[in-house]
Amino acid sequence: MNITPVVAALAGAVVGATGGVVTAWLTQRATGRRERERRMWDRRVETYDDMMATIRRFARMRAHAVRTSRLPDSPAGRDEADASAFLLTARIEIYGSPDLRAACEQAFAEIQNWMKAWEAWEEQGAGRRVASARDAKWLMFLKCTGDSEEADRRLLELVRRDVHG
Amino acid sequence: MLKNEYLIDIHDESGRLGSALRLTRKFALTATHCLRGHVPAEQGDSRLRLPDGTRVVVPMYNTTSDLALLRLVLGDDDALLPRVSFGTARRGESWTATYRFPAGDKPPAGSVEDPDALYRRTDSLVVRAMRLRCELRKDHAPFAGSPVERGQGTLSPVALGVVVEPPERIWAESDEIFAGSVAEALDLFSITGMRLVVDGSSGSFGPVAGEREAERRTNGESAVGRILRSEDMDYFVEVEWTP
Repeated sequence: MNITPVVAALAGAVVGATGGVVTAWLTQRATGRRERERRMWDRRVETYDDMMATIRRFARMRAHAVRTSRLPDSPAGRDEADASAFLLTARIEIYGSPDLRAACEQAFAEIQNWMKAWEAWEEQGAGRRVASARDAKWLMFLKCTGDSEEADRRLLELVRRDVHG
Repeated sequence: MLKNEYLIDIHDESGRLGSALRLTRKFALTATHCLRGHVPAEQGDSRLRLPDGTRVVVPMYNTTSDLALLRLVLGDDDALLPRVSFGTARRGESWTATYRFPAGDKPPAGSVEDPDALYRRTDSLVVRAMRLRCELRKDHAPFAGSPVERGQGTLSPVALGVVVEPPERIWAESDEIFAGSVAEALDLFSITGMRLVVDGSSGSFGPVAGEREAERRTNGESAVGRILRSEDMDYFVEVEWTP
């Protein structure tokens, strides 16, 4: 078949146009994927920030309790901290790796443990309890705070590894 | 102003409640039951006083051991160190209670039956005390909170502890009393940071160390601290005052 210059020119224009459209489409897809990945990354880092801020908040409460034997009196304050931890867990499930999700759950579980151990000590009453290694319930509280510190350290290590590579 | 006395009397508006043993310039040890419910007592609401009007607060107490820590509300220059050393009791050694009145009444004295007897226990705490044999059989309730000293052979007084109530909480005529040791008290109240320091030359313990830190830790809550706590901000912001 003889291809006339006109046909060739037209065919070339079509191929060129098609190639341009495909290239544009491929470029847009790639750009879109990068944009999504960047947004995912931003959300992941934001979740990690919020998670570590919550961990630090509980760590300060823990250190305060060990040093003074007291916790903030307001149950509302503790409930609010618990609620924010619960919401964070949901975000970690979406944006965190499986190892990090497990470490986060462990850290929050250890927080619950030391708070329950403190409450068990505190419920003995002001005249019966002592903030001393002589009191078995205080010893249990100290053990739980140690476990919590260790869980926090593991979680922080995983976050650092995830963020810095 | 307090001088270097180590025996002090605690009063409320109704009169004398009992005695106490000064551990440092500002901290003393007594028997919880002497305080007749004035526990815990913070600076703003305590009705406890020394005879000279010095306010007394109770930052820590324990009913199982019947030991209570007192803090005298004093300026740094308002009292001297108590002129007393501290020691741990030895089986068979003599002891005597430090007591001021009534005049002419002989204070309890005798020998140490058991320096580390089981006193009381709960499901989480075991408390030990000195079991002391008394020369005279009588009701020793008026001596509650009184310092128990090493009886003989010391140039300066060596305090071993304070008289506490009987384990069954019933005072009656007896030739036996119990005393909570200073070491036991500081162990139970270890969160204050106060501790006995061994005096190597004499083998007993010298002054109790850690008063400054204990004062900081038991100083109660400042007005700023209370506001922060009411706003659930006290674990974000920590208030530290340097006396």
